[in-house]
Amino acid sequence: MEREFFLLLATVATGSGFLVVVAKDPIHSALALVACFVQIAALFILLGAPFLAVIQIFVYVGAVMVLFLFVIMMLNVRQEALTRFIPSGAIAAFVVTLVLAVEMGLLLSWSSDLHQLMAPAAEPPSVNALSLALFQDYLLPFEVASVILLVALVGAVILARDDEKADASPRRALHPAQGRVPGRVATPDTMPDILPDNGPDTGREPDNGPGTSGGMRR
Amino acid sequence: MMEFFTTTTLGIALLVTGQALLVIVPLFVALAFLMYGDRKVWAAVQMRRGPNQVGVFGVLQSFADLLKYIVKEVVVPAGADKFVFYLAPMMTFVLALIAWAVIPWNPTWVVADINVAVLYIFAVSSLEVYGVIMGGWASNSKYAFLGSLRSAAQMISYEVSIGLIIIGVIISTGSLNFGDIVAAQDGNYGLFSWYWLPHFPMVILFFVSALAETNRPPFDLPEAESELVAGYQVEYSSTPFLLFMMGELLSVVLMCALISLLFFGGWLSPIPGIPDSILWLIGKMLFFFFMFAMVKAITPRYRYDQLMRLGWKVFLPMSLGWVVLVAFFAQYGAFGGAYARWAIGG
Amino acid sequence: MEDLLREYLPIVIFLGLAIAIGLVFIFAALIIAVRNPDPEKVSAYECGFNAFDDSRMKFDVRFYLVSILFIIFDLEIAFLFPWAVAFKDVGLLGFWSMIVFLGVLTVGFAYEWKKGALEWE
Repeated sequence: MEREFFLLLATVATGSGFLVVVAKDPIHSALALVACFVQIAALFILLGAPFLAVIQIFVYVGAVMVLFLFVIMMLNVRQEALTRFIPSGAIAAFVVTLVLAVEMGLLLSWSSDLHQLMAPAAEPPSVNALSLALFQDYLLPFEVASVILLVALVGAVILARDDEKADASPRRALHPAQGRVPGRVATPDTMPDILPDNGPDTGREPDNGPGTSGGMRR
Repeated sequence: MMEFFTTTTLGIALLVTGQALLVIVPLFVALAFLMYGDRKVWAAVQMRRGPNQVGVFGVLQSFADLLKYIVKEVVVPAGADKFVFYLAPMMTFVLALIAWAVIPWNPTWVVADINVAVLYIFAVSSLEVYGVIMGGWASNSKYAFLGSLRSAAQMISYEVSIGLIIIGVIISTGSLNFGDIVAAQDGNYGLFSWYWLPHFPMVILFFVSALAETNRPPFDLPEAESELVAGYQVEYSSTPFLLFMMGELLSVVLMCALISLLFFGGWLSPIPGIPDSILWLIGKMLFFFFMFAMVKAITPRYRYDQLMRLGWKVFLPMSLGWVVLVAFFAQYGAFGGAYARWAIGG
Repeated sequence: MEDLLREYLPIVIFLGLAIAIGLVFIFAALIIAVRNPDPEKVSAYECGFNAFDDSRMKFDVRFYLVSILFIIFDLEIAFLFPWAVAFKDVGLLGFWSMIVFLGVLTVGFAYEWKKGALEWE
């Protein structure tokens, strides 16, 4: 029973992993990766770690992959996707695949007790045991994680700010009231700024001339 | 030996399928009437009659609608990604339905009695954003795309508050199992033993976050007709659209069930002496569904920037602060241990 | 191990049933309903004129920022869940370590607030 489930899940996981690589459209790749992550979560359940399975789903699938999708959509990777299979990239990929394959083969042949290592625990570890380990034995790594998250937070804000400064004018066309003009009523961001620059709009910053106000999202 | 084993496995599988159908079939029938009830409440608030043609008082309206959806043409827009276009409503519907697997109806009536039930629901509802993103992207229409982005950002923003509010309850209970959470609310004071009293501000926050998470009014920005038409659903018709709608309604009812279980004692009776029963749980869910319907009828729509400000600048700090506060209360046994009921839970 | 399978089997079965019901709905419409597409009908929804360009366009960087912030708070929640479950067992040290953890992240949150990353106009 368990074995059949494992084979099924592993097959689907491998298949969707393969799809990630071969899919033409990057969005399809991302969705295949989502499928792969879900299969891995199911494998965690087979290993007797349901808590990890659920965390895997809500962190990787529910949060990280959503960001991936947003980024893919934002960069408009359609054109870039065509340049993905450049020859030198293929060679690098081939080398990495080869190294990984050799590594995996060596691991499989050397460690005879690998399957024993991978066997599920006799008694599925409870969430309690996991959190005792986390909050007593591995306290320092846990606190370090908070600092890493802090750095990520600050980094995200700084990157986004930079991006905004770099192409201020098209962004300005999207958001006529960018929060720097106090007291101005905000416009919903989908409303194209098609009105000509006339009287009431003088509160704008000078870089937002008539040239930028006409074209929306170009 | 081997045969015996397989037959029992088959037996178990059949039994579980029966149990699952016992949840799904009444749920679907209830869904039809809830849809009707929703429209009737909405109509009554606006002094209209609402659906009143099909059956007595129009009670069969939803079934007529179902029939209509099935005979409508499925229009797939040119340039749409066909596979993802069909996958998106499936995803919304399937995810909304499988969350029901862990909802208990009674101390013993639960299809999947897993120990991480609360987390499971949280994880499944965090996936629901995919149906929205995929639907908007696959349609290849500006309105659908913009609507899906807004909707997705809205859903993930409010998910954070919902998670933090749930953690407040978990601190008080020490278990992720709904049975334990309800058992922890069982006390001598009837409805005053339930968690709504110690966790009072969070009940309101949870209700409002649930409205935003399920894209219900006043947070139905993706359906803001004047700007984005029907948001990510604009290109959908026929049964794919029906699946979106059913998925949405299923998650609304799921939120009603969650509020009832987490804060209002699930199947516990409000007055000591009257026996606990599944009817209490259903009654509480119906009450909260009525509240959802009323909110839809009487509130004006939020603007998008207000919505995001509310989520990140009000709800997130409040729920985070509440988690810390509850932790301190529980740690130092404030209020006679109202926040620390671990004896019952795991 | 068999117990665990027994616990999660219902979810698999629920998944199967849900997919089956969804497929039945979609195929019912595909089979029963007439299909009669024409170029106007299958063109994307626009307000009266033909679409300018592909709809899958660039969008505001704020959506991207929101999803990063979401990941960070989601991770925080992922840490909070086991902590809340074992609240009575982790002791004072575990309690205060989480308070410090939340404190550090609150600093980040305050920074982000002050920098205006939460502004939507």
